[in-house]
Amino acid sequence: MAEIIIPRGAFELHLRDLPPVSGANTLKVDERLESAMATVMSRGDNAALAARIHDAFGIVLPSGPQRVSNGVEAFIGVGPGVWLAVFEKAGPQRASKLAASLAGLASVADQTSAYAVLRITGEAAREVLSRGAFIDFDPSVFGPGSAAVTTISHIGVSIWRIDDAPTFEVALFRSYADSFWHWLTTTCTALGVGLVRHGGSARI
Amino acid sequence: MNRLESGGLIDRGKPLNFVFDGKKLAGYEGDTLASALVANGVRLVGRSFKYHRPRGILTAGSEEPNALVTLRTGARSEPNTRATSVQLFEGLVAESQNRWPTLGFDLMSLNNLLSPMFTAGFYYKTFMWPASFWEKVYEPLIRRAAGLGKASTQPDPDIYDKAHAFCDVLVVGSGPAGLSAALAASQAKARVILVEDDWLLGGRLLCEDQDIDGAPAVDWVRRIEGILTAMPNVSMLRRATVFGAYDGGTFGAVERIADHLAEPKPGVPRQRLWKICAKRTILATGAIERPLPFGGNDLPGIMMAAAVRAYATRFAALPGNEIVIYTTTDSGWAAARDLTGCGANITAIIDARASAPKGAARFAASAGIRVFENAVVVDASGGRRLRSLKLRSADGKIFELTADVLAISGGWNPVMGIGCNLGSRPVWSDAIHAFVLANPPAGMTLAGSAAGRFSLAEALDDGHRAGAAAAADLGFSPPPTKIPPCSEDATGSMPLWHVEGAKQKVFVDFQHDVTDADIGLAAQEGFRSVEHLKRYTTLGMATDQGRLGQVNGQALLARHLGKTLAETGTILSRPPFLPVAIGAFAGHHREMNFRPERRTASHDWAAENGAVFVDSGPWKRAQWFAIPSDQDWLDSVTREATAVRASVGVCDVSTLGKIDIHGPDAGIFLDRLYINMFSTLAVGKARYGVMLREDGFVLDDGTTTRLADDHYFMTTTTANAVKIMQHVDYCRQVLWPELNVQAVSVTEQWAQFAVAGPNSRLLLQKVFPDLDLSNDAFPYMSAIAVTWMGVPARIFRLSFSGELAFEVAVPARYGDALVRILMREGRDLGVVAYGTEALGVLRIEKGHPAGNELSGQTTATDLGFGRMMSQKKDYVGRVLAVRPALTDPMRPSLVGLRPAARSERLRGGAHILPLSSENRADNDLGYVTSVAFSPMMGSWIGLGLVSGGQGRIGERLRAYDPVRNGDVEIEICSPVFVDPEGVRVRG
Repeated sequence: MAEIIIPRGAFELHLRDLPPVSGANTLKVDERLESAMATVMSRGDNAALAARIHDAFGIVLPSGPQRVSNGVEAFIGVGPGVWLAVFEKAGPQRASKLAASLAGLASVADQTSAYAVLRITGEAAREVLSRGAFIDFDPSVFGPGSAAVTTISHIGVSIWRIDDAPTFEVALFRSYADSFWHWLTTTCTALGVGLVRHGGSARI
Repeated sequence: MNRLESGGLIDRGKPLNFVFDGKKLAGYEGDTLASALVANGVRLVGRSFKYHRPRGILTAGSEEPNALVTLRTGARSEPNTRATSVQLFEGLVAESQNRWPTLGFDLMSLNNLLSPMFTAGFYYKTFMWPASFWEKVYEPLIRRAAGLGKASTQPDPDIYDKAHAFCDVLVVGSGPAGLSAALAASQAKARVILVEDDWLLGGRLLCEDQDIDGAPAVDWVRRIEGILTAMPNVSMLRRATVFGAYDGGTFGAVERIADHLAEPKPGVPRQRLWKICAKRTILATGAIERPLPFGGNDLPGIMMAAAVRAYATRFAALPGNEIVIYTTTDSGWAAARDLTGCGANITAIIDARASAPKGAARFAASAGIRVFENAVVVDASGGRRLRSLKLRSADGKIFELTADVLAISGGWNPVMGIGCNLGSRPVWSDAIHAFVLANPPAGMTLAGSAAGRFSLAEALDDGHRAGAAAAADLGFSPPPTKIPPCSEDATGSMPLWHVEGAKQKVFVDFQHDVTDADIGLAAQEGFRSVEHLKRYTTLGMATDQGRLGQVNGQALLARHLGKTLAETGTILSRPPFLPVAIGAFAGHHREMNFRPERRTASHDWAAENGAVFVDSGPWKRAQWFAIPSDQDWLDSVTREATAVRASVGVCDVSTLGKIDIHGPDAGIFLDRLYINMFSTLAVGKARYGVMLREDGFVLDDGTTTRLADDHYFMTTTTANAVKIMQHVDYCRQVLWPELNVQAVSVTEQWAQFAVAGPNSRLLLQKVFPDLDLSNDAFPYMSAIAVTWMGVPARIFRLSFSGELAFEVAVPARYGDALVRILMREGRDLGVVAYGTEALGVLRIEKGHPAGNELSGQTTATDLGFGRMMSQKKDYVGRVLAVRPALTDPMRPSLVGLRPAARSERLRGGAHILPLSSENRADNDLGYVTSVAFSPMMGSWIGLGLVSGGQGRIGERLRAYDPVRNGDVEIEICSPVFVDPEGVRVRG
């Protein structure tokens, strides 16, 4: 069977309906489908694991709720001895390669499909997210590299901040995407914020 | 009209029309509903809860007990709304409550004549006998007679929002203390949130003629408001009430975004629920004036002095033309000065204290006001409105005065309810004759009147110090600031709890009609604690939560007991401070969005193919796939189940819980978790396992596969997926931290499909042409991880249907693609999609227990898994599983059931009884757990838990179903109806 199978984004149908241009008081959203993700669980020797990761990626493994990135790979602290590894533009086998490189020091579970990751950029991002998550998103507290594991609208989410735009990414189990979208759109409407597709990386 | 020609914070250029009890009236922008009613000369606004006595507006704040109205109409109608807190809007419609047929002529006021019946503890005394009358007679009768407005029965058309906020310093209240505090904290660069209940900042400064910094106080308020607005580190919430304090510096607040509009703009929420997390909190919530005790003190026209002052000063509305002031406080005199300044006609001031404050005589003389010192009001009279009052001087002389308004001032109670929410108990202060919060919770400070420091100068000073201290405490450096000078503001007062010789009822709790006699009766009947007094008399249990009259009642109790208020104390207030609409708590979670739902990767594909979805916990699963030729659901299900047995079917099983178990000790860990062995499982093999709870009953079941020496892949039932993940984490973190095991849920990573039926191998070979899936290469219970079209995939040879079957898993984002390919490639084979109902039919035909049988009350032996219980190892539940009650051979255990007459239908939940027996519980042998129409058997079949189980095979019993009037003769049989030798599954 010489065919290609096409991955399907959890937010695909919702994003398709958004206008592509941004205007005043808008929030750019996009689903991150081109990255690979894995849960990395220390087998006990966190120092050795941190050293291995530093050697491999030049990343200082965070010991708290932080995201440390080298521009391509990132590790996000999501619990004691547990990280989410996110790899930009990585193929479906990326998690098993990571597992091999961390053999003996960490257990690795591929979660590339488990999480739908929504990238949210814009002035209003902080306010929109604070409507849902009981997390202090003030720039003095939640700067670039900050991360949190919390809930929005009764849905478990991990949130991390990428840059000063500000850009945030929200990861949630993909089966909840439709319910999360309902929360996002009703909250934006209540705030008078419009949603638009992310200009640069529009896949659709 | 009682509207003054000038003054006040109303906009005379913006008149607003409104309707009260069908009457068209007009007010101005800046009015509350109450002030507009006052301006229109409306006296009577409601009837009291129990006696249906006529009541008028008593206060000008949210503590209002009388002026409760039903606001708006239809679906938006909102009962028990305080007219004093409603900002007037164009087209407002309000109705008075608790009267029939009209407010003026209320038949229920007969209760007033029957009042000897409705004394304290009336409920408890009435409900003594006969008990059968409680629910049928007394309660409906009382509920109809007593009570306030009626809730709308229509769905709420508005939307409600939620939000969170964090700050260094939360300031509650924007009176002089609150504004000072917010200014001081924000100038120190702390992040400040200021919350104000009103739509205007300023608190008491809006209602009093005071000067700050040599100018009217209102100007100062505007100036500070301007400074705060310009500061990026300050957020202000207006029309918002902090209603509760919770652990960790968390507060609940409700913001009324659109309550002041006829209806919210489209998409805009009506209210927003805030969760605010604050490092420090300053309560600057002010104080509430106490009523005074005398007969008939609830007559319309009798109002709090501060309220009369507010209506005149802020709203330019005078409630009457012949005003008498009755006070035990200096603030009562200040009110008189402000009223005189507005041109009000005050005929007399009665001060119960031995002498009036300094300067009072001169003021009264110049204004032509008669002064009675050391005198008390005994009774007020007038029917539906105040007409006259009787007072008694110290020497016993009785005077009678005519008046249409009696403004009363009996002292001040600091508002500190939020401070008590976490258990801090108010203590009595003899210095200010009020309860104060001496030990507020950590991180909280009270300032100004809320702290019992009532003068304007104290409030400004207090607020500034509290704001600066809170900021300094958090490491900020407050700049030096000068506190502005302000008007003199005397705060002397004397408590007065009781008057002798009143002929009429003396009200303590106006909303719940609790009188001083009720308090006396409660004391006489042995009530000693204020908490018991509250429940017995319902003092302070109305919607105003006793903010107005509760202390008066507590003082009377102390008086009856011969104790001081310091000894008897007061009650602890609990959230919410004000009633909060349930819609605000629900937020966006209503109707279809009541709770989040989970959709599988094949959801859209299933919907395209006629799927009818069923809730399986939060998941939506396809229950069956209807095609046009199906007559009904049973047709669909039978067609699907038949096709699986005949050829091949595809079912989404992604909702089953999936847990990756890693680590060198993973095998040992699973041995301890399951009743059977897993450390011996070969890589590439799956095994069915059963877990017990610690108490020996079955917890869950499922297959677990070994993918590598140190990697297992566990599956759970859909229903228990979360519970088992928690159990796994609990076991590895708490019970056996010494094991090197890691675990994580991968339920969402994999879209997994069962491919079942004699042609399943043919279908899979078409999709995976490079794999050898023959019996020799890939026997039953094998598993393999492969790469399929560039993505990781897993194939398991598992069967829940008893057929030759596989399960195929791919990363969830490819699940939609996989199911479409499976269905396309299977078209020639007649592949069907089957849902959870057909899945149920197939498993019942094979006697596999599922959720109905894993009920939490069944043991492994009950379900036929007794022989799986390993003797070679310990595991969770092993010890308690051998309790005598759990090993009793007569316990109900799993059997198959079939109707003696093939055409009869079995019903789940039916009880199993001997053939000729009475329908009694002691004849009960068990019950039917699962039923299905079996296409293979051509009849209904069932599974059941029957006492003596397998020993009864061949026996005739009956399935008795009193709910649906069923009584079917059944035969007990093996639970495995189809292919008992297990040939097909290994085919």
